[in-house]
Amino acid sequence: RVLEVALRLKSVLKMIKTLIVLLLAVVAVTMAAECDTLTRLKIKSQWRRAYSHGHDREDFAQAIWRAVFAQVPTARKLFDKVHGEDTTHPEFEAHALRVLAGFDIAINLLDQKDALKAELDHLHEQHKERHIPDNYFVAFRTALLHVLPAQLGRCWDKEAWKACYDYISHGISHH
Amino acid sequence: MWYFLLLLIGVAAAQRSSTRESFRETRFQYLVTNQNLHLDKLENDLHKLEEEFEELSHEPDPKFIKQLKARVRNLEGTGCAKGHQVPCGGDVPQCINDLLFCDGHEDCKNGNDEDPKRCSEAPVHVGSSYTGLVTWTSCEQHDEPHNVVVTITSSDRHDYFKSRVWIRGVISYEVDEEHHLINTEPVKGYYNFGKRYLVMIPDKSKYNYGVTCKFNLGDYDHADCTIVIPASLHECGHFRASRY
Repeated sequence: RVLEVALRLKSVLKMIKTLIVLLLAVVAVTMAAECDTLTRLKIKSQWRRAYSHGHDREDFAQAIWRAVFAQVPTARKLFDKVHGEDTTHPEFEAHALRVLAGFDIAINLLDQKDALKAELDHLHEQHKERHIPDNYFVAFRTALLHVLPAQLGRCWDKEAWKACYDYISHGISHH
Repeated sequence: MWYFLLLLIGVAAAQRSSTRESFRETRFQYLVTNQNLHLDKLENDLHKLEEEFEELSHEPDPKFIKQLKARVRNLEGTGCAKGHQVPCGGDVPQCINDLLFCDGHEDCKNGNDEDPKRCSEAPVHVGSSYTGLVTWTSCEQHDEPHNVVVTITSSDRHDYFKSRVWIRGVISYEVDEEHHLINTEPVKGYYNFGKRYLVMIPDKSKYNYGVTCKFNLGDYDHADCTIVIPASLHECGHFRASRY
C-alpha cells in the first residue's frame, strides 16, 4: 500500500516536473521579445518615465544625440541646417526635442495600430528624401539603449526596447 | 764670550716666542670649546622646545578634513531639483543633469563636470571590494550585524556614452555566523559619476538583493551602502563600506 502511494506520488511529481518545464518553455518564448501588446504597454510606461519633462527632457535629448554623433560623426552633416556641429546650440536643442517629440508620438500610439501606421508613414515621408543610411538608425538605437537605462535606473527591459525600437525604425526607414 | 751671550739671548727669545705661540693656541681652543658648548646649549634648548611641540596635538589629517567637509556638505543639501540634477560644485552654484557628467563635454560653467577627480573610475576598478557590517532592519532576521562584501568583477565604459560605467559584481553576505554560512549572489548595475552612486541589482530574478552605494564621504575608499529589494529599492539593511 505504502509502495502504491509512493509510486503515485512519484508519477504526480513527474507530471508536475513536465508541467514546470512546459511553463518555462512558454516563459522563454514570451521572453524572446517581440513587440507584442504587453511589451508595447511596458515600453509606453517606461518611455513616459524616461522622456520626463522640462530641463531633464532637454538633457535626455542632449545625451542621446551626443551618443549618436560619437558613433557616427558623419551624421552631423544631415543636421547642418540646425547647427549639428554643436549639440548645445539652441537650434540643435530645439531640433533634438522635435525628434524626440516624433518618437514620443510613435511610442504613445504603439497600442493604436491604425494611428501608429499613419504616424510611421508620415515619418517615413519626412525621412525618405534624406537618404539616411541604415547604420544611422542603428547608432540611434545604440544611443537610446544606453541612455535609457542611465535615465531609468534599474527598471527597464532591454529586449523589449530592442524589439519595439526595431519595429518603429523599420516603419520609418522601410528597410 | 760675546758670542756665548748672543746665543743665550737667541735661545731665550726662541723660548719666549714658543710659549706665546702655545698660549695663543690654548686660548683659541678655549674659545672654540666655548662656542661649541654654546651651540650644544642652543641645540638642547631647541630639542626641549621640539619635545614640547611634539606634546601638542598633531595637525588633522587632510583626509579627515575632507571627510568632515563631505559630511557637512551632505547635511547642507545640494539645492538641486530632485531626480537627475547634480551640483557642479565650486563657488557659483549650478546644477546639471547627471547624464552630462564625464562625457567629454564641459557643461558646468566652471567645467567641474569633467574634473578628473569627479570622473575617477576608482570606485569601480575591477577587483574593488567593499566590506562592512550590515545592520539588517528588514528582510532578514538577524539580531546582530553581519559581514557583507561587495566586489566588482567587471566594468565596461563605452566611448559614445561615458557618463556611466556598466559593471558586474558579486555580493556575499553572512547568513549564519556560527556555521559561517554565506550567500553569494551575482549582481549587475552601473556607476553614476555625477551622483557618485553605485547601483547593482541581481543578475537573475532568483536572487534576492541588490546594493546601492553613495561615495559621499569625501573619498573613494568609503561609501554609504544599503542592501535593497531590487524592485522597490526597499531598504533591508545598511552598512558603512570601506575598500579593502
